[in-house]
Amino acid sequence: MTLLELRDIEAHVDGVHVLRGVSLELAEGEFLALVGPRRGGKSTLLGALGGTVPVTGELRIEGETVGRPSPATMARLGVAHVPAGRVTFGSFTVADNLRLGAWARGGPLDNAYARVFELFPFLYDRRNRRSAELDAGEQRLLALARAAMARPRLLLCDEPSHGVAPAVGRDYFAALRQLNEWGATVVVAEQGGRPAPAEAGRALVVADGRVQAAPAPAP
Amino acid sequence: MSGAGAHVAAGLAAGAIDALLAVAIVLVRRASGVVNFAQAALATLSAFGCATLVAHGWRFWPAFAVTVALSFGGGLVLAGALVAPVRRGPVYGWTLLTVGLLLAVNGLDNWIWGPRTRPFAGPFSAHTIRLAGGAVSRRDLGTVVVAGAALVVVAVVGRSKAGLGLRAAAADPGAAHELGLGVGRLGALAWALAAALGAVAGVLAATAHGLDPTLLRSTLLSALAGAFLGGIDSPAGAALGGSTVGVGLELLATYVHGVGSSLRPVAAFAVLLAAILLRPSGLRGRWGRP
Repeated sequence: MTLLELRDIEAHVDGVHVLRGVSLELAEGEFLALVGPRRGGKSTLLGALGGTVPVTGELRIEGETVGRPSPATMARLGVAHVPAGRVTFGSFTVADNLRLGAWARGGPLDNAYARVFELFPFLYDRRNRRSAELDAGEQRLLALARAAMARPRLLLCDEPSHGVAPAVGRDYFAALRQLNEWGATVVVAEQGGRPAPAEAGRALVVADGRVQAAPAPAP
Repeated sequence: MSGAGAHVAAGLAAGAIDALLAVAIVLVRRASGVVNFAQAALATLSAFGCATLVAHGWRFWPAFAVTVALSFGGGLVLAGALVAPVRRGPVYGWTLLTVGLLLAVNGLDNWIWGPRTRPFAGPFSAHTIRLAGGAVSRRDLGTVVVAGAALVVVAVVGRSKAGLGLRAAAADPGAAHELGLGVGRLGALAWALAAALGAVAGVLAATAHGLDPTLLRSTLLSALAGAFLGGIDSPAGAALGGSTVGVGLELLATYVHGVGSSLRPVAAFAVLLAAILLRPSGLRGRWGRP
């Protein structure tokens, strides 16, 4: 079943025409990697899906057109976006950071916490520590855990392994694979020039603001 | 020394009102990056509203509750009407706007109710009771209790989901927005909470001193001093700073010959100056930037 559909998406960021007519379809349960050169439009595309980048064109979720995508609208529709870099609230505890991830969700969070702590046991041990006390890799994982708190249907991760130790990247992708098995559709943008991660079932090249052909399969 | 307890109690009562106003100022400052100089004038307007209800035969507590609720709503309206349109403008523009609002609200008070000071009988008598070896007026005690309860309510809100959102939106509006938080609405909530706290402060002050349009004029100064003393971005610090300044000024006026109520604002100004000079963290943040 098609979860998400983009038609002729255009986006300008700071006066630069970044996305130049992107169309793509995403099936429910997919694990998609976006690869391609730096500044090709991968992050902007993720931002468009997460509602942080204003776009023109058509964005549909389960066939329903999303009129004015904003982060709040997209969060309510089950989209969670993990931007690149260190994005946790440093002065907040780990637990408060996680709670913020579930902002758009109503109801009790016990199950969401349980799942997240199952994925990342170290966060349970540090739940009352300020997130600024975690190292960069742990903060990266916390940002993913925070997104997982929303039990997203569509999880968008920007450059998850950029600038952290390889072990952190492996933990990150292992968690992504688990979340994908639990039902989340995953889109990962890898930093410029890197190949698609092994976990991805499909990869698309984004360059010059367009979705190019699928990359050549790894030898 | 039998008078000392009463003076401390009077200081605590004045300090409680300063603390309420200081916390209100900090809530708005954190949410919108602006010091709302009209906070005290709005509180005075709330007090006039409460006094009007009482004058129309309402009992005090229902009038008080309705005033606080209306002020909360007024804060939401104000945030929507004034704040949203100028949100992306420069901070000095906002700040000027709040000064203008202060003068406008003050003019409105004068126009509707006149400059005359009117008595406002609150629920607490001025009779003293013996407490911890000293004589303490029931009114001072009641003021401290009501103000303390209002601060507890704000602390409880601060620990709720909405409070977490408020803190997140204050800490990093951009990141909060990206997480799907309604930063604008949370800002309006901060203004509403501040207006409600101000209403409590205004009514309490009016029952102690009588009501006229200048009711909280010097309180604004001591509340600002308290807010800066506590580090302008911390509600708990503001509560502590505000009450400390209030107690300090009351004791100063009592024990230092010549410092009457006229010089109270001068002393408050000195504290504000010292707080700004000694606590540069008070100036960190958006307020101080061009």
